[in-house]
Amino acid sequence: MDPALVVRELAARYGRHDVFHDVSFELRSGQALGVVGPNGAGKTTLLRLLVGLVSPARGEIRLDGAPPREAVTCEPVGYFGGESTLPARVQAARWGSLASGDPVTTECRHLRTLSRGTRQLLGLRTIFGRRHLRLLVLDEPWEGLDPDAARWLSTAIEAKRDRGATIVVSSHRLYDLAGLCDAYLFLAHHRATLLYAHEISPTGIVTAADLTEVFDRLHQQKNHLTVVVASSAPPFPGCERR
Amino acid sequence: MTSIPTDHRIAMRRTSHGSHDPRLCSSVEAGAPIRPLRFFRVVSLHSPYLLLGLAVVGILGIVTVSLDHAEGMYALTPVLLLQMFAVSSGFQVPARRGHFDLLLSGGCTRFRIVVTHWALSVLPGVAVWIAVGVAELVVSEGVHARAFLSGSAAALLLVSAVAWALTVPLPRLSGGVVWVVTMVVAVTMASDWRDALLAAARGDGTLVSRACLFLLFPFSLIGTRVEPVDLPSVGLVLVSGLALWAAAIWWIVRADIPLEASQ
Repeated sequence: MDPALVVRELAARYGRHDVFHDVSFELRSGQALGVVGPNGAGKTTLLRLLVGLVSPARGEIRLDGAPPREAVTCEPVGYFGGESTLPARVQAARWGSLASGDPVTTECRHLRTLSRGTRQLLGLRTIFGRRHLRLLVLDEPWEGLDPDAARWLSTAIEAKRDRGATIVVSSHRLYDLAGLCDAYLFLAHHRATLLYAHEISPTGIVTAADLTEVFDRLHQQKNHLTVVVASSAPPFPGCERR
Repeated sequence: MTSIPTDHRIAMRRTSHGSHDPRLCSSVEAGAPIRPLRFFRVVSLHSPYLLLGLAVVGILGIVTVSLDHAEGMYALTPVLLLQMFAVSSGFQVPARRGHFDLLLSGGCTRFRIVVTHWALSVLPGVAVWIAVGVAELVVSEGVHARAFLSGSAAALLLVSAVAWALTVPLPRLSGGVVWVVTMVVAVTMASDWRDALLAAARGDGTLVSRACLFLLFPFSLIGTRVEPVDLPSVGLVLVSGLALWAAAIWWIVRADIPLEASQ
C-alpha cells in the first residue's frame, strides 16, 4: 500500500533560528505516529507543517502525493492545536457544530468562560465530529483533560486510526501516548530519531517507562545520530532505517 | 526514507474492524469541508459594539433623510467613518493565535477563505449604506440617491478595500485608526500638505494632489458625481486601493501561520 503521508528531509527554521532538520518518515493509512520532545524542540512547528499552515525551509511533505496546503483542500484533514487556539468570544455550542453540523454540546456559554479542560475537550470533540478523516493531527491533546476525558480521547484516536485515518499526535504525557502509536518520533537538539514500537519494546507494546527511558537518553545525548534500540527484531522487508 | 511497518498484530486487530480502503474513503465519503461563510458567522469578525454603532448610525441616517432628503450626505459620512473601522477586522493576528486553524485546515482554499473574510468584513457597512440610500430614494420619490452616485460608490469601495488590506497584518481596528490619524496629521502638522489639499478641495490641484485628497479624505467624494476632470485622480486612487487589496489577498494566500501565544 502506498504511504499516505510522506515526509522527506524536512527542515524548519524561523528567521535564523534552526528548529530542526533532516526529519523523514512515511505513514500509511491507519498508522499512528507519536511525536515526543522537550519544550521548543519543534513539535508544534512539525504538526503545523504537516497541515500546510507553515512552509518548510527545506525538504518536502506529501499527503496522498500532494503538498499539504493543496491536500487539505481535497482530503479531509483534522488539526487541533490546543484549547488556547479557540477564539474566546464564541458560544461553545456554535463552535461545537462547526465541523459536522451536529452540536457536540448544548453549552451556551462563551468559550472564554469555560474551564481549560472543558475547552480542550470541546475542541477535540469538534475535530472528532468530522466523520471521515484522512489525516488527524493533534498537538498535546491530553493537556488539561480529566481521566475520563483522557480515556475517551485515547479510545477516539484508536477508533479513527482503525477506520483508516493516519494519525500524528504530540504529547508530553508519555503514559497516554504509550501503546497508542506504531512509531515514535523523538525531536531533540534540532534532530529527529524515529523508533518503531517493536524497536522500543521487544514485545511491541510500548509503555510510558520505555518512552521515558528513550526520551531521557536522547535528550541527554547532544549528537544522537545512532540510537541503541531495545529490540533485536529483524527489520521489516522493504523498510530501511536512518 | 524511513517507512513505518504495519505490525502484524495491529494489522490483524484492525482487520477485525473491517477492511478499509482509505482512497475510497476520501473520495466517496469525504468529510465535508468547513465552510468559510458558516465559520465566520460563528467566529464573528466584528465587535458587537461596532455593529451596534453601525445600526444606530444607520437608523439616524434614515431618520435624517426622511426629514430632509437633501441631507443624505450628512447621513452617509458617519456610516463611512464607521465602515473604516468595521472593515478593519484583521486576519494575521487571530490566525497566528490559532483561531482560524479549523478553517485553514478544513478543506477550503485560502483564496476562498480570504475573499469570504473580506466580503463579510464589508457587509454590515454596505448594508447600512444601501439602507440609507434606499430611504433617500423613497423619500425623494426617486429623485435623489446620493448613496448611489459614482463618487459615493468610489468612497465606499476605497474605504472597504484599503482599510481591510491595511489591517490584514495588524490587530483589529488598526486600519481605521491609521486612516483617521493620517487625516488628522495631514490637516494639522504639514502646512504645505494642508495648502495643497485645500487647493485640491477647491478644484485647483494637480492630479496627484487631487488623488491625495480623495485618498486621505474619501468623505469628500460622498454625494458627488465623478466629473470627467476628476476621473484620472479618482481612478488612480481606486486602482491603488484595489492593488493594495489584491496584494493583501495574495499575501494571505501564501503566508505562513506559525502559532503565537495571545498576549
